[in-house]
Amino acid sequence: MKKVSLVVMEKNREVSLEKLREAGVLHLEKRNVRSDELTKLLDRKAKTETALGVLRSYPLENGAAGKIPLDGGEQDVFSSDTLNGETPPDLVARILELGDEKKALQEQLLVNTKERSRIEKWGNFDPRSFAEFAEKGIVLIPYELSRKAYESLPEGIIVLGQDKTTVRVLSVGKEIPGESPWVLPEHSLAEIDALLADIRDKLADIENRLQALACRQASLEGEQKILLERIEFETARAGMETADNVPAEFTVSWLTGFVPQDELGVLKRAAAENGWALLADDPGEDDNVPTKLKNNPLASLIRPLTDFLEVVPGYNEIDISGFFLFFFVIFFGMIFGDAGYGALIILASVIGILKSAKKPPILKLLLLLGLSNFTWGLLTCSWFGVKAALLPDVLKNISLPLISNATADRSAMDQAIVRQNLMILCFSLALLQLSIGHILAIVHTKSLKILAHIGNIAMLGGMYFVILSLIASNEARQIPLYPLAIYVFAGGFLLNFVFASYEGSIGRSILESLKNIISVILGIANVFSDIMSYIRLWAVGLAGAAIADTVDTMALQIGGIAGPVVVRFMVFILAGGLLIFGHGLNLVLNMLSVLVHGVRLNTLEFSGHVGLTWAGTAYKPFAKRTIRVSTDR
Amino acid sequence: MNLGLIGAGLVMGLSAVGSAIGIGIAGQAVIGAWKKCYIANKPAPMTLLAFGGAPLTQTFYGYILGFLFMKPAALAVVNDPQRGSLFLGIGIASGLAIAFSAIAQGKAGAAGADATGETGKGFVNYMMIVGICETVAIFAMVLSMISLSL
Repeated sequence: MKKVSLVVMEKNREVSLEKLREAGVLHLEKRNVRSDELTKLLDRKAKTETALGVLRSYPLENGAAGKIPLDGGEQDVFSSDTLNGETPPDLVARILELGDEKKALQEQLLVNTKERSRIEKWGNFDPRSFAEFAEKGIVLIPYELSRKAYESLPEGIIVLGQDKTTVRVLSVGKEIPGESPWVLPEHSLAEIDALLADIRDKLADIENRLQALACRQASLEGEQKILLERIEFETARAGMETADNVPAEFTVSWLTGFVPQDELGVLKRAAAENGWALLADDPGEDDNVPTKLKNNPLASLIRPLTDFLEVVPGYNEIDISGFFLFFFVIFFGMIFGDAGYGALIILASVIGILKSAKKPPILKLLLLLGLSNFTWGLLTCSWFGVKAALLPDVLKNISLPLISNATADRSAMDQAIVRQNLMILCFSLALLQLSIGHILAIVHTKSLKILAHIGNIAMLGGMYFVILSLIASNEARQIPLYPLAIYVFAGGFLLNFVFASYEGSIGRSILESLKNIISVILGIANVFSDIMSYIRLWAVGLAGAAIADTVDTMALQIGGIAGPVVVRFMVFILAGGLLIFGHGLNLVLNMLSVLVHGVRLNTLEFSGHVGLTWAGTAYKPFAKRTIRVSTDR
Repeated sequence: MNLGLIGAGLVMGLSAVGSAIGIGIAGQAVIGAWKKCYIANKPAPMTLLAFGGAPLTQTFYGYILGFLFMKPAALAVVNDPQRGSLFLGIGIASGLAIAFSAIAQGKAGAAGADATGETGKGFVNYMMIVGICETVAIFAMVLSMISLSL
């Protein structure tokens, strides 16, 4: 990346920005800017998003939307001709108006429905008649009393009605002590019913109008895109600084940004054509340089995942895309761990690739992941969680005996050995990936700090054997703790201690390590836990296998229920449904586990050993992105 | 009375209880985050389901442990009554560890769901914390298996 400063004549500011946008290669430096125009645009954007949100809850029906006859001619006011015309009507304002009206009416509906249920049992009477009676000297006070309260009352009370728990009475002339009177409603029951019916009609009308306008979603989405562009433009325009104390005719404004080295030529040409001044230099240490990743077609398969996770390495950091992809594919296979699921994923991605014209990279990534899953399931003899003993011999024979379920089934000893092999594999992957991390760091380091990384690799190697001996050993096979491993670890620790903070002087580096002695010692525990963390690949795969096994067992038990043909048929359907639901749920849980664990091992443990902080911003140049969208769907 | 088998039942049950509580906590926050999106007329992100469903796996960690207990546990008492109490002790302790890991994961997931729903950013950061919570359960399961030579 090159850091670029661009100077233009102030009077040509907007034209220059237009031309810059057409060039589409400069990533503008982020600035906090304010302007009236920007505020108006942001406000309009928020309103458009709200309007779009309101419309999205109305499903689009082909043709039906246009056929509802409306009063007020909603369809004519907002037809595609008027929306594409010179002065289009304000669709956003109309939708927001309808939305607000709908909310207000819904609140009124709620309030009135509540009131109706409160006064329902009193029947349909005119509340104003109480005042009329009072004017004529008859004071009537209504009460809603509990049965107990009613029974303790003196005579002279008119009972209007009662049910299991309450009694509705009228007290003539005087209040009942200790009881509060029933609050008279504003309207009679009939009036409230009429009001409710009116509200419901109005709501239905609004629903119809909004449903009719649902087909204009495309127009709103187009407007949203145009607004985003205008906001970007206005931010750039307002972000340009201007020289003070210079006459308007001659004053200049400038902006700064970043452009990839191989696209600098485009910018230089644009500058020459438009009479701009351009200064291109290497970015400094403090600059927040955007990152543009360049990968070979295979490594770029990981892009859909990193885009989804929104992780971008810092400009000065190492790009681990290739290794991320390689290890993520392996982790996916181990966590899912079933050839049956792998086959389903391969099938789904192949169908997707064949059907779609554009062949999105996410499907290619999915195909690769499915192949990994299938391969691992094949090697471990896992097919939809079915017990190895029930599988045909051909499947058992093509699996890898060291890690196969078929081997494990032979005896408890074999099972223990297979489990140990899997654990050794997990820890070996840990050693491999974490060492690669340090090797990558070594390639990018130019000083004696390389020795610190070599020390780290030695620590990883030594700890690997310690863990194998402590954790992976079991009654079937005891892995000895080789003294060499301890020596290698100790040597690595020393190297790391001396060179970890090396900035030119060994003495100062040792002093720095002594100052941070606690974190240096905790570093030993970190090495242990980083390698141990990889055991999750086996553990989570085991959990998935347990779920699949449980589902199969349940389905078999249900399927084994004897009875007449009808019962057998129903039982078959039930067992089938259970299998589909159970394995479907297992697939979803496995996906979740991959997201949590497979990604975590790459972004936390691996990245930690590479020294990556994922602190980057993606390269997003100031460029034209939209074309006018047709309002017809 | 076979203490080991009691341990097997407890490890399964306690883990499931923890999962249930964790899912309840996370689930409420996910629903709340979706509600806030609907009120603001924003699309409700389905990725929040990942936070709600994350504590579910602890049930299976407990099941795996309990299932493994049941094989040697019965023998343990016959051959060595003391091992039965070891199985009981580890069953309760691991069950509780896995359960609390699920509860912690539910709380972390709840915060993650709220943050993602409001800002739409940082999904992977929150997921990493959720993953760290699950590490406790994984270690509890694995180290229990190793300590009991299962």
